[in-house]
Amino acid sequence: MNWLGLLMLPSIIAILSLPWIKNREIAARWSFILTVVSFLIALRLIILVYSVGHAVLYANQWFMCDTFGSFYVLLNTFITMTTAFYAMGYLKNEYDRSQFHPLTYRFYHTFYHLFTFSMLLVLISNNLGVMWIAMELATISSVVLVALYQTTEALEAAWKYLILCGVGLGLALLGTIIFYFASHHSLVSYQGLQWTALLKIASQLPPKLLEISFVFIFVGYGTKAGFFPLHSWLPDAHAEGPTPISALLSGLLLNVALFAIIRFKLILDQTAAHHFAQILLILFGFMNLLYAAFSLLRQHNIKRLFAYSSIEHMGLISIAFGIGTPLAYLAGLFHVLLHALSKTAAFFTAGNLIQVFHTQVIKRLRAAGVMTPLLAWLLLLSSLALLGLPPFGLFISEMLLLFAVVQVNYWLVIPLIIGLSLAFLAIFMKIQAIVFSHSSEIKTHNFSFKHVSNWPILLHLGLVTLAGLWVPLFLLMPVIMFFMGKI
Amino acid sequence: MISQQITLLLISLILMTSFLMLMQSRIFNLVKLLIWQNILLAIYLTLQLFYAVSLELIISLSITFLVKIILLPWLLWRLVSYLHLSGRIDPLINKPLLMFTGILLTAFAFIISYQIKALIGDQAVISFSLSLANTLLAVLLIMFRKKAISQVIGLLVIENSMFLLSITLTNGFPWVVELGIGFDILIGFMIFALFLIRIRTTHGSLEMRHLEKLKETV
Repeated sequence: MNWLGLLMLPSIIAILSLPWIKNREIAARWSFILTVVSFLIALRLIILVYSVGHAVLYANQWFMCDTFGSFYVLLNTFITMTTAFYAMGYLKNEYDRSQFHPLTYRFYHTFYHLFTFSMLLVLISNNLGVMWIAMELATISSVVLVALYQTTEALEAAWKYLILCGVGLGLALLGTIIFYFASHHSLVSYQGLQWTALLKIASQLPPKLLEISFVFIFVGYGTKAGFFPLHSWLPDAHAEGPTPISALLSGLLLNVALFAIIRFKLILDQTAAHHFAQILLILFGFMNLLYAAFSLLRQHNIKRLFAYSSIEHMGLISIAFGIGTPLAYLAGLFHVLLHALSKTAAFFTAGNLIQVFHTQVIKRLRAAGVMTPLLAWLLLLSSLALLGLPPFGLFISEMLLLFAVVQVNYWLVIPLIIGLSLAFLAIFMKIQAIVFSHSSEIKTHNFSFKHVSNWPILLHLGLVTLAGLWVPLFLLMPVIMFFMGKI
Repeated sequence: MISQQITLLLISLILMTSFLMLMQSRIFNLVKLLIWQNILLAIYLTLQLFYAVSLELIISLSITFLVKIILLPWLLWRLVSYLHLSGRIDPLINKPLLMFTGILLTAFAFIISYQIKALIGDQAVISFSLSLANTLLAVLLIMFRKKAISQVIGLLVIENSMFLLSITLTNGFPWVVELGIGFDILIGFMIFALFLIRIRTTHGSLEMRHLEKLKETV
């Protein structure tokens, strides 16, 4: 068993052991310890892959981890770890607040690990069919987590999520079948879905078939990534689920869905169909950006606000990957990294605020600057980080994206600037109203708030600031070399 | 030649059951039609064995058989009788219009697939377009009904058309992948069932109007 096989082990242990642990505290700690182990293994794996320079394979080439995958694996395991840490404090407060059934905790921890494990499986599977299965598993397990509170709204959000993503994934399977059909003349049966084998013979595949299959794959996985016409599950699921799950959905799941699309795009890049994939990604990227920017203006719920901001950032990343020059890839990957870190920080802060004020409605979250000064500052800083203000890293990634767009066509800069500034206005207006307002009527609910649940926020914000001052090129360059080597 | 005609007939029959589902307003009949569609699919799969017998195909066929013909219909039947679903669900738009839309979508599927006729061959192009049309009809079924159960049935029809397509085009996926897909569908269905029971205990019915609270307010 090599490092790649070992990477799956902590999650499997967690899924098998957590249903049986009755004590809430012990279960939360055990869950956190396993995520730390998994992060350390991922760290070792990425060092191995970056130094060797080629993919690590496991189990007769069914699993594969190349530079592109290992970058995502590291990000995923890191955020899984910090979210598990955050959840320790969050669930304890939640228990004091709403008196969960004890079984709910066991449910939560088991499905948390099932969810993160299936996302890991998407990243390391070398087989496009297995990738689809893992994606479906991720959907099913996260639906259970979204519906955890069992309120009317949570049930509705989860139902919408299940139906929309069910249809979406059905279409993605259709695309995968057509892809398999396109390749099965050139490759023997089980290799026809193998990504590494497909990449080698990509130029022999018929471009017309690839185009048709890419449309279905784009619509299918795009539903999961929150692309515009089929995005409507996203804000509901983010707003109604428990906060750690909103953070995971936003910071990881959307990225993983986009990752699946990019895997297909890399094959299309080798054929005559590469312009088609490019145009599709750029077009939907801009639609996402503009739609989200206008929707942000009319949000009344803090978690929905951040959910729409995720749609906006997915649009930006999709534009970057669509353009596909080295500069654009640098901007896109950097944005993936920083968006995941700062969005999870924003959700953690929002979750803490919600536990203090017992509401998600922005109008009733008043005078946070007076009541809970530390949380108010963290909220302000994490939303400024999301908006891309200079000391934070997203400033650099959005700047790079702007340059990359100018290189392609300078008229495209106009919608980009409009979208970014509208989003800035909308989020800043709402957040400053929460932080810098006074109100005599509103009172916080007294409970002992622990500083521990602010640590992950500080860690994420620190990393985002560090990345803004010193771009981690050692992490990003190998992936860009990998992309460029393929084209 | 005759065997080809039989397979085409079977695919057309499968598409016809989807059209009938689109028209049907009694829930029990909807479920019965779905089971009929599964049986037709099973006959179609067994016919494929006559073309090329291989261990891989037999394994993947038996997995499909077990999941789609035995387990899923049985679970669905249990669910429907548990929830006492005997009422009617009328489509949101009138039936002739719905039928007409379905016909247009089928024509659309033919137009798409004839563009790649040279690549997939004369024989496969009809089966390809019919299974594509079946998928589109399932999406119609999901969109224009007011009850949650019909959305689940629509999703199952989508899965059926995927199986049909994968068998028509490529003689099926590798069996490991097939196993995974079947397993996923089964788990997904159970989660669906749990949700339906849960929604029903909260609201007392499965009408979609209870699930329309999270609208954007301006």
